[in-house]
Amino acid sequence: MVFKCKNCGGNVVYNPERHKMHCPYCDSLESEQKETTGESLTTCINCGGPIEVNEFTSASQCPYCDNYIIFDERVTGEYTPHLIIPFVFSKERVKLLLRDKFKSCVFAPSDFLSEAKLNSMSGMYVPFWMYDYHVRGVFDGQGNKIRRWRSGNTEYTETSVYHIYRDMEVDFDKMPVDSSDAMPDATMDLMEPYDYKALEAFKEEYMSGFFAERYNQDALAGEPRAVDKAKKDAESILKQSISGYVGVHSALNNQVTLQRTDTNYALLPVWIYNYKYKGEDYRFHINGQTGKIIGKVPVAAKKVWGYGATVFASLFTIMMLVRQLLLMF
Amino acid sequence: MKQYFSYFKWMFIVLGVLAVITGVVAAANALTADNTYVRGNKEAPEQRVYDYADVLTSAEEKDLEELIAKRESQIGCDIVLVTIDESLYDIYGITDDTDANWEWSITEYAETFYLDNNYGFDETGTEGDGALLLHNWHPVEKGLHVAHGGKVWDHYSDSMIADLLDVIYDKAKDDPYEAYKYYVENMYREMSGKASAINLNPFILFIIAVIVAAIFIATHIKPKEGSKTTTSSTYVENGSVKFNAQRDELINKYVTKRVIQTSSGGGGSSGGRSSGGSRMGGGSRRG
Ligand SMILES: [Zn+2]
Ligand SMILES: [Zn+2]
Repeated sequence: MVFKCKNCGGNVVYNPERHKMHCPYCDSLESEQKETTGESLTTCINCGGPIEVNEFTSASQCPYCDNYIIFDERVTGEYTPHLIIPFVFSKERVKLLLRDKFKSCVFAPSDFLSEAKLNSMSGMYVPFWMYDYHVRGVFDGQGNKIRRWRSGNTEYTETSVYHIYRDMEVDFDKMPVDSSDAMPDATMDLMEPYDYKALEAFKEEYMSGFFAERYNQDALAGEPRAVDKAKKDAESILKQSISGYVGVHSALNNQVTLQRTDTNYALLPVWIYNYKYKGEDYRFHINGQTGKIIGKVPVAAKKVWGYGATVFASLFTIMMLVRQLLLMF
Repeated sequence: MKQYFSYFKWMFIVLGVLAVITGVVAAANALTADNTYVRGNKEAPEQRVYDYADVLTSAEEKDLEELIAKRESQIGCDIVLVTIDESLYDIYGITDDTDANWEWSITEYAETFYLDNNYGFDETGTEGDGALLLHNWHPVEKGLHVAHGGKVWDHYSDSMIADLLDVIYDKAKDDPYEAYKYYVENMYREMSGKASAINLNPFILFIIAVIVAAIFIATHIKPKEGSKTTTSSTYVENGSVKFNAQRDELINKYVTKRVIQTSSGGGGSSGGRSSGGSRMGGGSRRG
């Protein structure tokens, strides 16, 4: 499908700043009209030009007419997302964020924050599985409390040994795990957290203007990572409830058991900035809702050493001058 | 290049300003020489250094005499140095080697030496401005004492004397000449009001600069990707944490004990203006 403007026929896209559909050609708001006839995965629904999509792509942009196309069969039926967080940051605002964050990075290549490079950024809805869990954690072990005092020239140490027992239950709400092979897992984990208050029921309109994928694996295949996260969090909550002890240990295996109570398929917004430097790819991911930036800036190593030498020389000279001044007064 | 200068703008400005200030102060210092005092007391001998213990070479004695002569006119205080290697107990007929006897004897000797020789820059007696360092190298009764009078007495606190004696004691082990020079220069710095002279060790400054530069390079050469901003409670449903059981039961208690070895410090004491028996101010350090 493609969203077209009733007034001018241009491609209407979702505008994060206005929270509305917007026609960038005639500046109309909410003038969209959904068109679905002539849809195909190989040709553009708007101009008929040949397009290339991989097996997971659910929204893309036609390289000929620049229209944003949403592939119906990948957002309906079993692929219908339950939830979506629409983009909050527009491309312009992400540019500002990046410029602000890296403006002091003098070691980055000079065109790293150039307008042309930043314009190549694309917004993508990444498929996520979200699991709800009911977790029960039990700890059965021992710990010591130590009291120490002095009398005369003797030091006394009193060790109190405690039996520690905890039985805890906790509910986790929407433990997220991305379901896109193209997205590095570690990076997606760093994208978190998203603010779930903005979760909405899925609407196709939000996708217009962005790229998207449908989930790459089903909910079952994605679950181990979520189970891992939930167990780790539960263990850490359990640990926090055991305080004031030294040498806490347990002979028993501590059990954390969990049970999935609900599963949701959601699309979450991510801006992607690809930058090539000296033959290497540097990929930036920006949380499309919160603006959190994840990515490594390419660094010109020679420059860092040069600046480091300057830091050394200046600092040493300054300190020697201060020393001289102190001696003279 | 432009980026380089704008990056280090503040560093270079601070550097420039400091360089100018240092230059100006150095020039001002060179122009305004120290005040010179005119001696009031004509009864004291010329000699200041009495190396009876023979721990200095004659060249060192001469250097110290010259340094003292220069410093005395700058601060208006007599600076006397006496080294001995003899038993004061024999002199004063003391039979018990106690810390109190030791301190009394070294104090008595130092003060008598100072007063009998009529030292004091402006006048003789306990109100005369000056100080005397007595260093006894005797194997049993070894130790140091500073006796001071007049404005030196007013200026030096007990703890300042104690600190001074500690430094002299440490330095004298390796090089008595350096130790006594330190005594003279300490008198000069304190009495001329240049006591704030903090001598920062250039080597330590060098190390600091190396460390800061290393941290700078280390933090910039390896870019970091971003940090985790979730916690263990990020996905916890509000108020869903529930403890079915939370028990802490004492099952055993035992006490162990250990005898503490106390290290005993070396003797050292000082007397202020009011300390019993002595006529001048001062302090001693045995060892
Ligand atoms: Zn329009
Ligand atoms: Zn097209």
